[in-house]
Amino acid sequence: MRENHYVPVGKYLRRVTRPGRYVGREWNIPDKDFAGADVQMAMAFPDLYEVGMSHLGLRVLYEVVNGLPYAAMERVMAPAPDLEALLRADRAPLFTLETNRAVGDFDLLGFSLQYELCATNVLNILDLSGIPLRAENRDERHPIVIGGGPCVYNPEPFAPFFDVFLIGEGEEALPELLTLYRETRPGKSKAARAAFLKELAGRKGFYVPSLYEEKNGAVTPRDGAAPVVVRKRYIADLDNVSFPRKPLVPHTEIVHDRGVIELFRGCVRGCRFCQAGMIYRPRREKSVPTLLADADAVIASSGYDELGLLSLSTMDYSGIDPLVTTLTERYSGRGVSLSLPSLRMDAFSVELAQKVQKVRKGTLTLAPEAGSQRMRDIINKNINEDDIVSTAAAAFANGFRNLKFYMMIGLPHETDADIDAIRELLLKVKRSVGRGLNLGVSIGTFVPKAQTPFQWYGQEGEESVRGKQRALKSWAKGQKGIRLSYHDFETSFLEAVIARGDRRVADVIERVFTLGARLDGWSEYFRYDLWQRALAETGVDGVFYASRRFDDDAVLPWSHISCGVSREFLLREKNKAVAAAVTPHCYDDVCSGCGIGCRKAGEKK
Amino acid sequence: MKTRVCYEIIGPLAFLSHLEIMRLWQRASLRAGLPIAWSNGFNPRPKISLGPARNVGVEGHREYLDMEFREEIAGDDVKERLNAILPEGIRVLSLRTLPPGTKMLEAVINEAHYQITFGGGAPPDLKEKIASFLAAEHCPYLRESPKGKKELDLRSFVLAIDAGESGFALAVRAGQGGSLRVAELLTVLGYWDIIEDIKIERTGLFVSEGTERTAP
Repeated sequence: MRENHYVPVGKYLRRVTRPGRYVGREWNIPDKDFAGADVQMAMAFPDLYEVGMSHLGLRVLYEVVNGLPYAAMERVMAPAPDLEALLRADRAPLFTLETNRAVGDFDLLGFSLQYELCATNVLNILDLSGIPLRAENRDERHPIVIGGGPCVYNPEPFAPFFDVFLIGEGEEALPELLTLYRETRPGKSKAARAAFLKELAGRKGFYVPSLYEEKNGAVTPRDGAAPVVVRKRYIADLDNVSFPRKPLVPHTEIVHDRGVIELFRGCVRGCRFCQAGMIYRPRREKSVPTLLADADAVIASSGYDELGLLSLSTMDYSGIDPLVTTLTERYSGRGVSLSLPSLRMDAFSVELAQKVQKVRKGTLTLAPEAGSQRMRDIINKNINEDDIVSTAAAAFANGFRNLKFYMMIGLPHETDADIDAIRELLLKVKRSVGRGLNLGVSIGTFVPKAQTPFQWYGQEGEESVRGKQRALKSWAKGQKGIRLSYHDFETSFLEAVIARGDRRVADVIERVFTLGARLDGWSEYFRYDLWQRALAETGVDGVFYASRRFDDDAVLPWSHISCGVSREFLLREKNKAVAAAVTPHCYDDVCSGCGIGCRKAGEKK
Repeated sequence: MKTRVCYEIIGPLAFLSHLEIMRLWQRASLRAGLPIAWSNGFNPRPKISLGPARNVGVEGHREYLDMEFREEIAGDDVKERLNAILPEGIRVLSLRTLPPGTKMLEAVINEAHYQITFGGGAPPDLKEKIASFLAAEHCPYLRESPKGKKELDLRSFVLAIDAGESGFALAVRAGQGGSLRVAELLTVLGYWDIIEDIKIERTGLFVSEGTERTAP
């Protein structure tokens, strides 16, 4: 067992803004001897507390690990710059929220990698914990550093900083790793540590980057224990896996400040730009009785007055109507409201939204993504203009004055006519709805992600994207009732560099961290100049990585990682996109043969 | 039915803001399954009103809040149920049912007592500095906040200071006329930025009229 260093947090709290981020002691922290557990893991969310605590995945793993008799998980988040400065001035280590112990004292350190631009926060947490940034410089005195989350579907830009990645869902895989840790004690020697990683590499879902090398763009094993392709793990039956029914209740306001239940994982929609829609397959639903029990327990144990129904496309849950009806009946007299994420574009969904939000008429969100039918067919959105306009009109008629639209630019095969079509669509919605509509339109810049049908495409160039942004923005200025916002190109560009990069991009991440980049997802902290310097100093061509296209038969930087969806399916979908041909959603008996094998996985009705 | 709750808040939770404490109590009341009354309107909230705000980082030993219930409920029961679901560092000490027409806490509390403790013992010049502070007629202080700058006279708030071995006890005017922050007084005395280990506790809140001083 390592020595424990405790950080006197109180003296820092007095000098930081929002000390509520660091006080811990949230309601529902499990009553267990954290410091006495046999295997101790610190779980990092590389962003500020209010973002980290809004993430369900972190809470799920916390529940799972703290439910094990021999293990304990404590949390750590990225510090805001004011706390970081105080810690560095004192040479004090970063600490966990549960016991204020130094993160470097733990057996294992996990990172939830949800967003490419959290990369510098990962390095900052390692550095503030006194852990060498690169795995090759660590030894038995340091925690085993584990990464998981959507970013690991192209792990290479993160690879040098991690000892092991867990590909896929962690409810079963993480306890397996912790058990192996307990049995083999990799902390006792450098050899034991290496043996532990080698053993893991042979098990499904674990990618140990040090056992692989890159040759001519292909990442291949250099050790017989490591498989050529690492396949993701997933839970077959969500009804039989633990869910945080006693959620931690943060004291400070967080981004999604409500109780949540998770209706299902995976998505039947098959939008070709959407990474989540591919990597979380197959669709697995929880049963209505399980969800009602989850909901009751979450509300009773937390005191939340709002319950979020979480999933990729919540309205697609097969039992959505009975679920929402029962929850509404149960909670309406008790001051508990329900919240739905974005709305499916049909009449049923508006009715449902009406049922859910009888009193508080919040903003309804629709995601048409593209303006022209041709473009919606290219991305396989499977909706037409009538669906969009009539859904917006029905929502307005039911008293929803504020609508939000998600649109994208920079999609493959996009022309000026598709941009014009965005304007026309918005105008049509405005005209058909009448006076008094507030339409917020968020214009995202498309980033082609690994493991999607669009993975072979490059990101559109800066000049062209900026031109489209300008055109839309200047048009919207003259439009009453329409507010348009778009993401900075710089952020989308760096997201693409990392999402599409290989191990050389890690050098840029390390360099820019050293130059002082932190919290790049926050506009108030984002320093593009530092990234430009880091790219120049490392000689890495960012534009090359962001915009390069791959031939159909090329080996991709992430070809050694599989989310279970076959390359053949992705390619077929890409070629259908070229022809603007659609693939139906995988409802009923229509199977598009993506390769995940959900019939075998036993999908429930 | 309205109930006045006296509670303590100590340790790291003392660093929560007034708004965060409000949310904590609202959720605690729902978690405890108490028949709390709800406000009307567009965005209903449990009917809870807090006493005067504490400054962030100040522990409170006798803090107050009022809760309104839809039905009669026994005080001991409320105390027990709340203490069972309150996080470590916050605890109900006592409750009393309020007669109809009782004024809001904010409207009646006008005096606050503090204990300031220096971890390394009181600075050698403490008594001297306090004496000169008390001897002065005014003590101007410029309070800067996101809302802007405000000129204050710290001396005008101070009722009494009693220096001891490890720190000092402080009585100030509080409530609707505004108050000072202990950190401001410590800044003026010259300790706030140079001494790291300072503990500030609010030991009591009072309704003071002439020479009579009662708990709310």
